Order: sequence, then C-alpha cells, then structure tokens
Amino acid sequence: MAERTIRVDYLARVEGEGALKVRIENGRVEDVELKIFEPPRFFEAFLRGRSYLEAPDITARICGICPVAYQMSSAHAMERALGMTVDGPLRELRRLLYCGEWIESHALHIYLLHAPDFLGYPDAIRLAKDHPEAVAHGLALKKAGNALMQVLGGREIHPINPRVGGFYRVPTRGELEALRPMLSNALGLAEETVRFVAGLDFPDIEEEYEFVALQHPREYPMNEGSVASSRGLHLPVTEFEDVFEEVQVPHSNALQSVRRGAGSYLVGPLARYALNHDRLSPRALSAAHAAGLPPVVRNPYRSIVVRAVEVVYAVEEALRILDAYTPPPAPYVEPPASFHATEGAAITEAPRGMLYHRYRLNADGLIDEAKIVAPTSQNQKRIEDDLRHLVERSLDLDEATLTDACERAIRNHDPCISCATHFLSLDVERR
Amino acid sequence: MHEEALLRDLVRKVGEVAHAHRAERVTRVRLWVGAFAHLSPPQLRERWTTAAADTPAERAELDIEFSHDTSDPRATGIVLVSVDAEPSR
Amino acid sequence: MALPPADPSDAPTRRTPLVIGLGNDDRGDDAAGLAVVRALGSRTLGAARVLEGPREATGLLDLWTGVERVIVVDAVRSGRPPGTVVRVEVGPHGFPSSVRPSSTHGLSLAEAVGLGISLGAMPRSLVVYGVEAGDFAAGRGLSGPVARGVVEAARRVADELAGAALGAGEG
Repeated sequence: MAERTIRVDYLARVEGEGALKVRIENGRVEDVELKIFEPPRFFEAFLRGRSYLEAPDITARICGICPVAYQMSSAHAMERALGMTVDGPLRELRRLLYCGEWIESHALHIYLLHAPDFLGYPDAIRLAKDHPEAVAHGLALKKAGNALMQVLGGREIHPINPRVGGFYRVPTRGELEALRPMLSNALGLAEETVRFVAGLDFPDIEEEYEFVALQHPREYPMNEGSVASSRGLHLPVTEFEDVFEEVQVPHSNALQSVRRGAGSYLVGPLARYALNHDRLSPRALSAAHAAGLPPVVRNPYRSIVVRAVEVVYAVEEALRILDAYTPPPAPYVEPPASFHATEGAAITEAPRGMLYHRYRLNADGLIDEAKIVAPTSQNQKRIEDDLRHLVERSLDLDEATLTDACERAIRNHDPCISCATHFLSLDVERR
Repeated sequence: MHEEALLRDLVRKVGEVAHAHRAERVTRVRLWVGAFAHLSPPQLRERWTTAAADTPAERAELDIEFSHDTSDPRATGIVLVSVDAEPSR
Repeated sequence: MALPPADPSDAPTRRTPLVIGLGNDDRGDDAAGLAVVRALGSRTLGAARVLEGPREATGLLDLWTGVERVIVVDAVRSGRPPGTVVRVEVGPHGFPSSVRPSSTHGLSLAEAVGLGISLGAMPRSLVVYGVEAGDFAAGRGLSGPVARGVVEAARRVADELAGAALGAGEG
C-alpha cells in the first residue's frame, strides 16, 4: 500500500516542569544544570507590533504570582520612553499596589511553599492538618495583600486597572480607608510571622553571593532606583544591559543572566535587604533585630525570615500611604499626542527580585522590540551554584532525599520555580 | 524552554498519529521550528535521535523548516507539521 | 486561629449558588474553566453568582467558605480524550484520585481543597466540573475538542443549577 502524508499541525507542548541534571565524576560534582520553563520569551515575540498602551495588560499575564511587577516594569519603561513623569499620589498608589503584591506573594511563599520544608511536611496541606493556625495566618495575610490588589487592580484575575501614566480609575479616600482594619490586623500577623519563622531550624550554610537590587536614596526599593550590587557596582537602569547579559547555556536553550566578566548574581529579598536594610520602616527594622538578622544575610535558608520582614515593611508602608492619601486631580498623566521612534527601560522589584523591561517603539507608538529579563533567569545560574554546593555536601544521600534537598534549596529563592519544581526531575549521572 | 521534553512530546504525538492511522512504519516527519526555539539544526537532530529511539519514529527521515518569522505567535515553539506513514495491510 | 466566621449579614449571598471558573487565558486549554463560565454568564439568569478566577487557587477559600453550594470548573489532566467533561462531587476527603485538576501557575484546585478541608474552610457542597485538556502551550487558544467540551460543560452546569440532570456521578 502506498505511503501517505498525514497532516498533523501540532505544537509541541511545554509545561511548567523543571529538570535538574547533576554529573558526578569520581566523587566530584562536575556539572549542575537547572532547566525551567521561561514564559517571557514567548511574550517578547507576542508584544511586537502591539501598541505601547497594551504592554502592561499583556505582560501582566506572564506570571500568575506577580502580575503587578510586570505591569509596573512595562508602564515605567513606556513612561521613560515617552518622557512622562508620574509622581505625587499616582506614584504613591503604585507603591501601594506593589505592597499588595509583596504581601500576597511573600505570604504564599512563606506559609504554603517554604514553611513545610522547615517543619518536615511534604506540602502545605499536610502542614495545615497539624498546624491549622499557622496556615490560617498565612492565608489571612495573603488576603490582606489581595484586598489591596483588588481595590487598585480593578479585577482580581489580572489587575487591569493600572496603565501607562497612572490608573484607569483611582480609588476614593473612602475606598482605601475601608482597607484599614484589615491592614492593621495584618501588621500584627506579619510581626507574628517574623517571630514564627525566626524560630525555625536553619541549616548552617553561607554562600558568597553577589547581591544585586535596586537602591533608592530614601525608600526601600519597589518601583524606582538605580542598580546596586554588594560588590560596589552602581549604575542607572539604562545601563543594565551593558553590565548584565543573558547568555545561552551550553547544552540548553534557556537563557541565563550573568554579570559580564563576573558570573552569577542573586536578586530578590536577600539582595534587597543586604543593600537597603537601613531604609526599612521602624517596625520592620525592629522585627529584623528581634529575629537576630545581621545586616547582610548569606544563609539562603534564612531568606524566609527576610521575606517575613519585608511583609512587615509592606504592610507598614501601605498604612503610611493610606494615611497620607489625597486623590490626584486626574487618574493618569496624559501621554504625548504624537511622538517619534524612541526607547525606554525600567526595573522594578518584583517580590522575587528585579524585573527588567525594555521597549523600542516606532513613530506610530507600536512596539518594535521588547526585552524582558525576569528574576527567574537572573537567579538561575546562582541557584545552580547553590545546588552544586549542596550536592557536594550531600554525595552520600540517596536520590529521593537528594531531590527533596534540591527542591528545598530552589524554594529558598523563587516561588515560581518552586511551583515548577513540584515536578522536578532529578537526573544524577555518576561515573 | 525544555527542549528534551518538547521533542519527547513530539515523538509521543508521532506515535499517536501512527497508531490512529494504523501505520506500520513512519517514513518521514516534518517539523517547523520557530525563530525563538533557540535550537540549531545539529542540536535538533541529535535530540530527535535520542527522543525517537525505540519508537515508531525511529527510522523516519526528518525534514526541518527553520522559521525566521519572529512575529509568528508560535515563534518559541516546534510544530509537528506532518507525518508520512506506510499503512499496514 | 481559625479563619474568621462568615459575616451573618451576607446570608442571602451564602445561599446563592456560586460558580467559579479557573484557568489561564494564555496557556491554551488551561483556559477551559474560564471559557465555561463566560459561556454560562447569561444562562444562569440570576440563579447563581458566576465568577472568574481567582489568580491563585488558595483565593478560592475566601470565596467559598460558608457558601452552601459551589461549582468550580477547571481544566483537568486525567488521560481521557481532550474535551471529555467529568463531574466530581468533592467529599470530606477531597478529590477522588481519578481526577486531578491541573494548574499552570501556583497551587492547584486540588491543593486548595486539601487546605480548605484541613482548615474547615469549605462550602457545604462542592461540585467540580473538569474539562480534559489537551494542549497547555503558551499563547494558543482552546483546541477544537476542548472548545466542544466547554459547550457541553456549560450546558451541564446550567442544567444542574436549574435542578435537572443531577445524580450523574461522572461521565
């Protein structure tokens, strides 16, 4: 019978699965390779040809855990491209929205993903059976963050209310005031969270990180600042790509961000705290002191404590913004009526670290090029380094135990990869 | 992205198609590779060979179209375009 | 600490059936749950509250705690042909192992149910409609069989709300 051609037209499926490959030769760890799904690549292509006004709504869909970060980085990048200044109450409202995302994402990470590791439970469900009060705390905190995002984000699934120049609609004083009881309660919960996580048992490990985070003269950084590193680097956001680059990893098509000529670096709570702890609010600072946190935390497992301190900060900051809020005269700054081809970049601090966006626009206001560097790709190489050290210390462990330990080491840094690594496939090659 | 998983998924799909059409042998597989799939032809062939080993796709010839269209919505992906098969009698 | 008790003033709200669609619009068939509630929107004629979301499954606990009757629609992966619609009554022990809700982000519906049971934060009755997903690729719409499954699921949910077609376990 004759051969025939069957049309299929099937797109290969990509799922959020993670894979870790470890090569051990003669008792030495030769190679550690972490692979994760990277959604931003798809969106960079998808954004081309779209209006600059669409970028915040489109990119907000990249991550279900941190949509605000994507909105903020894209809106700021567009505003810089167009020479717009957004300040006063609009700037404060953005910060308030970001507080909501930090609270929500950190509460999720601390209680539902990270705490079970320390207390010996495989997941939050098993933890909730024995410690329902702890998990209920976490959910109540998360709910407070979520309430902020709902008031400012318009719609809960993906906040669509923010836009280039500000917001489609701004809340009244009364709408924000209604959040006060919940936030006041959340402040107590957040402080209790710091006490709870400070009492956990931490493996006695320190890593030599190069911390990289935004730094702002007056604030603990969220929306604005220059890029600083713990090894003395200081540069404006516009020079980010001169100093940091995404490189193709051998034997993998994933991109990893490195500092040119220096290698891996770490973004996220540990980095923000190391570079900005003196700008924390009073209660966040005293919570950090009471928890015995040094000014620089190099133990990745203690990131759970730093995250809890940042929740205290975000709640206190939200209350400060609430106190001072007067609605702005207009919900957004009007973009210029006509413009020329231009370019703009911005970094904001997503809960899990710096999120870089750069856009090149043509004279019609359409996106010619989009570049997104997510915290995940920045931390990936550094997480591999953590994993290499872990495996070197743990050569005698059986593979199931080693897989758990590796997943746990990843959860120190990233809730998104943490989700992916529920399915971490560990491949150990021993020679 | 995780190219091994992608190719395993495609090989699995080829197997499904072959089975559904009661094919005895798959002779040719056509793939379309998006501009952002970040896979060179030798990488792709090597990975395919690994993924297709011991499957109905094992001895199939591989036709690969590498797209340069960066605006294609599938630009990060790999598409199984078609399968040539010899049906069993 | 337990979750705060539901506000007694919203008793009428708690008596109104609640339908929640889950999913992600940008991950192919993962959007099935959202598509079902969108298709359903006008057909419930005020007999139920119909919601999309939340972004992350633990948010369900806030939505459903204390509500008498909740239907959640989500994409599932159980090895059945794509587009197959299954109906599951979630009992005191959570999901039967034959149906596992999936999620491309965050914690899944199954984990929310597990937490809800541990914390006593569940609705009185919870029914899950699952639409078997095929393709979770980024940036694609629903695949053909799944789009047909969505139509079927919307019809069955509407029938169930109207009081008909109860009793079927799964199918």
